[in-house]
Amino acid sequence: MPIEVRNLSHTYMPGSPFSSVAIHNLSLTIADGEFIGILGHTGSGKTTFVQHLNGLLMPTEGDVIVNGVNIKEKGAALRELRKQVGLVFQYPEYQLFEETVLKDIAFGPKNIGCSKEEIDERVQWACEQVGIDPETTGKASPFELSGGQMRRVAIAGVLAMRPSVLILDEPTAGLDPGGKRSILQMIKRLHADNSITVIMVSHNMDEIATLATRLIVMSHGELVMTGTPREVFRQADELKSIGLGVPQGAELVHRLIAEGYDLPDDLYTLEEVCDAILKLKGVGGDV
Amino acid sequence: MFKDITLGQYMPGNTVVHRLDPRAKILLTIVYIAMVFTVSSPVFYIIPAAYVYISARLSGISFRQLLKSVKPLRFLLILTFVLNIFFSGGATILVQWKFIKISQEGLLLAIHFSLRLIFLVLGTSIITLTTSPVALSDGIEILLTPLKKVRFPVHELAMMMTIALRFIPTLIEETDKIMKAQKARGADFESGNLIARAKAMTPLLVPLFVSAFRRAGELAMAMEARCYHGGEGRTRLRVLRYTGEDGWAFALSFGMLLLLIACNIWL
Repeated sequence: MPIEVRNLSHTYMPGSPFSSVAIHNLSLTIADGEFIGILGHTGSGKTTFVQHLNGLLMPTEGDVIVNGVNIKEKGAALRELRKQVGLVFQYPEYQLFEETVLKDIAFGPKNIGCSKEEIDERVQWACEQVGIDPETTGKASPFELSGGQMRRVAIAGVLAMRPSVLILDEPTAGLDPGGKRSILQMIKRLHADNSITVIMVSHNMDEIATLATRLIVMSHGELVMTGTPREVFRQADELKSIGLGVPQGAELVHRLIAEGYDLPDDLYTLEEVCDAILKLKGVGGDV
Repeated sequence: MFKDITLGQYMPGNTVVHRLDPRAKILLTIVYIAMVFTVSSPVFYIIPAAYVYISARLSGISFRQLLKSVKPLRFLLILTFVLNIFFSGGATILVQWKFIKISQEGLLLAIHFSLRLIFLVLGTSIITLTTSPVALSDGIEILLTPLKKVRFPVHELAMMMTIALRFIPTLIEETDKIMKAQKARGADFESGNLIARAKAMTPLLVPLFVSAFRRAGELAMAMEARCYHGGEGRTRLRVLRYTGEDGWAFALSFGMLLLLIACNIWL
């Protein structure tokens, strides 16, 4: 499911006094199996952008081509598109509505017309993926669960559609550190085990640094940087000037370089920074 | 899709009409309504018409905006017109075709009642177009204060109105978000027959209610945390004061009402 975005612009309420440009002339391609991290300050257009990828929003100008099909084309099967591109919204737990967790997860597959066996099979699979026990938690009401568990259920609801592209809009927002870690691990596993493309919106540099294979940085509706985490995080000053930051490891390295230490400027994970500092001090590379 | 809905009709501005005290505007609207109901013959609608014209000119509201407020009423207008024209009876028959009779009296009555409706809406929409909802509920609260004597919960009512108005845009935004989230799961809100569509609303309404209750709880908590305890001894941020402009508005309005009464009696 390669995704191609050509000169995408989106304006909310065009032609009214309230019109505002959310995305301006954005072009990029996303290949199969990538793990993309989208970074940007609040209001940079990240959420608006990802809503184009499954046809929830239509471009004001430009094209979004998913698997060779332009989403603007008349008769472009939006349902098919939404089956292929799963979108998990920010705070997805607020979309739960069914009596039981299992029924809620079954909502998506039911909508795309799966048979009963297929629905059961998908629900089981989705539960397994997010670590929900279908026998106990599955029979509970989604409104009885904790915030972290509700979020898992909501993600399972999207996974049950069996998308080949999974988009997550700030999946860890508002969770405690433990909840964050387990959600991130789950996403990492999903990407590794199922060879799906993952697009994750976040403004937490540290969590995105360890997961993404490529980063897309947006500012004021425009694409300002793209590249591997290594390429992006070495441009610490640019990132800071648009209201973002760098992972703690990169921050440390950049400060040490500013102090006159001789370190490579493209390190960002804590492990490699540790190694480099120890090497500088003449201690062995092992930590 | 819901982002295009603007709350109420309020058009911000800084004209004489915008500046009038909301209490005055509510009272003037009552005077205006009285005026519309005193009109005894369609010709005299010229006076409410002049009144609407003057206020619209003073407030910078365009004719088109005013007409927009009448638009939702078009079916009611047609119904009023048709019912009056055919069923009011009368001696002077203008047209007769089989059992359908149109009398002069019926025609006049139909015009009279349709105009009454139109002018009621035109005049009252001037107040909603020029007064912010918060100012309006402030005005209502103060005007209803005497009812406190009979233990009517005036302050609570006004607070409820203000909160309700405040939350309409929030809930619209929320609806939009939940709708999109369910669409992303393949939900279909647009096709199917009436029953299918009503059923399709469950995934939208349940989360919406849950979140509305959650918000209500949070708001109550936040108000209590700031020691809200009802209207007792509460002061206002914006103290309403009548000015000379209000005086002129009252004079103009009562003047026109008197003129109309005079017309009704002597013409």
